[in-house]
Amino acid sequence: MATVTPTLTISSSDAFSSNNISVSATANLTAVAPMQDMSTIIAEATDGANSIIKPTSAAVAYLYIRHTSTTNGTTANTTDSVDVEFTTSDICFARLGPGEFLFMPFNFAGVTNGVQLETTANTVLCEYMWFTKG
Amino acid sequence: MSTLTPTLTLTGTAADFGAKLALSVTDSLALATTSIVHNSQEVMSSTAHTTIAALGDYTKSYVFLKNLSSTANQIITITGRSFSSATVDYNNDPTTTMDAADMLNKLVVGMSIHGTDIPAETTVASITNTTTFEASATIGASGAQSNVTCVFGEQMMTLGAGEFAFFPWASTYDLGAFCATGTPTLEVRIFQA
Repeated sequence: MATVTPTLTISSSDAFSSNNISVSATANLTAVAPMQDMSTIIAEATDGANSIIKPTSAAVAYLYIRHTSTTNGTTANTTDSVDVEFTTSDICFARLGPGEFLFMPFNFAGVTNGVQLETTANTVLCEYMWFTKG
Repeated sequence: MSTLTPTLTLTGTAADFGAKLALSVTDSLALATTSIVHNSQEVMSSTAHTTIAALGDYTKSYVFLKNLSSTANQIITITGRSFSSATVDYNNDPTTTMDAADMLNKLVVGMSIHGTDIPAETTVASITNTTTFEASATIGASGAQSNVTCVFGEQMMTLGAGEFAFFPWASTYDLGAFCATGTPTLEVRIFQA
């Protein structure tokens, strides 16, 4: 068993003319096996080819994914986006642009659903990590 | 154009990794000049599915969600896609029917089901054929009902008490939510790119 503490801050000094945006959130999470340490995947524009989490018997996994802005980890930059999709339906529920990331407690929907990546074009190197909720 | 700066850190003791966890990422996100910035608190229901962001109201947006409850069993489930059908029939049994046109390419196993006489947390357990599926629980306990309007949601995440999420929403499908029990409050912040 492990303890994971995510902290998120969101700030902006110019989204509003009248006041700044300053959001902060933190949580103390318990994580258990199986876990996926920081890993990379070269996502492709092929439907269903880039699964990063398969359904497990657990209900929830804390999931982190980031678009690295490169095609394959070299200096080749890309502006292509990465769709984060349900494996059951190929439906996109998040779209990562270059440098963007997500963090969420993903729901396996009763051992049926997982997560896969699909680029809008070409290839994109993404990093990801997940922990099963304890 | 304005800028939104999110920063995420993940720290802790990840014994299974054989190393201490220490991750920090930040980004600089451009918001449109006419960006919609939404900030609300939505009270969840265990019997109804609530649309928290409709796809037609936003283009791609950055979404922050937080379950503000401190009660452990007040869990909020977020759906990444939902649809409704007014052709659902059931009769005190898990076996359920609906029109093929409503079901085709929409219904998947694991979807949550919301409607009259349907217990909280009922999901689609299996799909039998083009017009029939099995629910995870007996529905329609009060007897035969036909052409009931039900909402089906593809479960995306589950926010326990105090948990949060941040993600770039593609805005290709509605975002919805419901809870397991009680009436927890969901904090919703949406920043349109």
